[in-house]
Amino acid sequence: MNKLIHHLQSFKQAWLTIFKQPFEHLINIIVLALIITICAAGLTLNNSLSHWQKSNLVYPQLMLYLDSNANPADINNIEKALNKLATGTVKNYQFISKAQGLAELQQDQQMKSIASDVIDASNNPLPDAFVVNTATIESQPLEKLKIQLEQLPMVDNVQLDMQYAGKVSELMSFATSIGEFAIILFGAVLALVVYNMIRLQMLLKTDAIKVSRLIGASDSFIMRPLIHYAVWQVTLATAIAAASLRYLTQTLNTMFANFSNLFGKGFQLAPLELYQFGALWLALIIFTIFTVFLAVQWVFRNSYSH
Amino acid sequence: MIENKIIKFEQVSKIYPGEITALNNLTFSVDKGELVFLAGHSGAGKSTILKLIAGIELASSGTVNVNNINLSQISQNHRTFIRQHIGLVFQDHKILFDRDVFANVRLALDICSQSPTKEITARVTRALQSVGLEHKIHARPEQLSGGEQQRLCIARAIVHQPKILLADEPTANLDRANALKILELFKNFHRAGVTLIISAHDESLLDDYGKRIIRLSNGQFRG
Repeated sequence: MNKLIHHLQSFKQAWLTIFKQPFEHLINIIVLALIITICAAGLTLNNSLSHWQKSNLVYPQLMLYLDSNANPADINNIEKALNKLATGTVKNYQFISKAQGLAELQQDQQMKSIASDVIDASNNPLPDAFVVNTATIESQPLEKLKIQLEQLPMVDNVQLDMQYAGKVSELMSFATSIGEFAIILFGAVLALVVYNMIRLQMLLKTDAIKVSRLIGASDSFIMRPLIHYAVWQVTLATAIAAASLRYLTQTLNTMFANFSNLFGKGFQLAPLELYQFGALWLALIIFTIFTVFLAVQWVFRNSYSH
Repeated sequence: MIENKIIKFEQVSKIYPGEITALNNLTFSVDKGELVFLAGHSGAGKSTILKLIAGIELASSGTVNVNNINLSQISQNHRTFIRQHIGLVFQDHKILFDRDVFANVRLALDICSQSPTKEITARVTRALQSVGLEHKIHARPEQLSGGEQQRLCIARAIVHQPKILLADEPTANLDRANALKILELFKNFHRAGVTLIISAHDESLLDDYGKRIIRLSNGQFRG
């Protein structure tokens, strides 16, 4: 009960401090909001890339050509092996028999004349084949899959455009890294800003803290108003960041939509959901409390020995 | 046998950085409910004794026991907690000028007790009544005279009803009439059973009280 009263007092004190010097605190809050916006933009970018990847990205295909002597039992064995891999790197596959291949070739407008003049069913030189649709763009698992398939009996050749897979993989991981880097870098900046904010508050309240310590105030008693002060500023800053990011996302998406009209399929930013912003806010609050704790301990160690 | 000594100093020395000896091998004790004056010139070691009792400083050698707790053997947090049971009156008042009289006194209650809001108001009012400042409850500290500021400091020290009250030169900045009024206040607290240790450099103020006076000079007993 007593702690609740102290929290209510600290809450009141925090808002009074903010309202007494609104301009100074507004600058603080805007700086915090800018940092949080950049952190949240990093999250939005990663979120959007993941969405885009799921709906638009063409995963590499593997072409698996069988030996010309392969019989239905061999084909059955390969199918079994592919079924085993289906939950991992293989999304699905399609068997194309040599007869089906020839039929498709004969239907192709450009290849039609060659296919019908030279080849018929009795001297069909095409191999049986599997078209394997993969479920990843990462080059390492694809390379591993290729080796696994090559080792299967009666497999003549496996073709994979590794260069394409590698490029896409690198591009996606680069974009993801930028997002993660922004989150880590600006997370550190946020910690420094909060740390300095608390240090300055403690300097401003030196007399009150000294007297409180002399009377017997515990660390938590002194820390409580500072935690409220930081938490409410970070909360206001998160709200501003959420609004700014929503506006920014909408503006950018309009631009992306215009580009889409010109170039076909386009990219849209997926704004963070309310629950995601809630989770971000919670994470920021825990982070802020931890930073306040560190700042207070540092000031106590260096300024108030008793 | 029940131990009646609330404060015990055993061969206590205090040396500050720079080899400045503030106290040299002092042994004495204070009984529960006793009123003791510490007398001596400036730098005699009076404030150091009070700081050692409050756990603000630690002895360089020897032991300081308060309520049978050796202050050197407990953590800093525990020493801070012990201060919640001690009232401290400072020579320079240490009043907070960013809040009114009520909030200054309330601070001690917020730190030290588990009182609900209604009781806090009643206790602050009672403390201010006992020092004659109830009419200034919503005044700002800068509106108070020197004597009133000292009385405010005393109200803050007694509001949580401590067992021990330490006063460091409470009359130093006051004229004789105000100083006597302050000492009279302390006498009232003593009658209520509070253990009191008061330091003063003006011994003429203390002689009339007929209480124990520990006289100090250069960190040692005198006389």
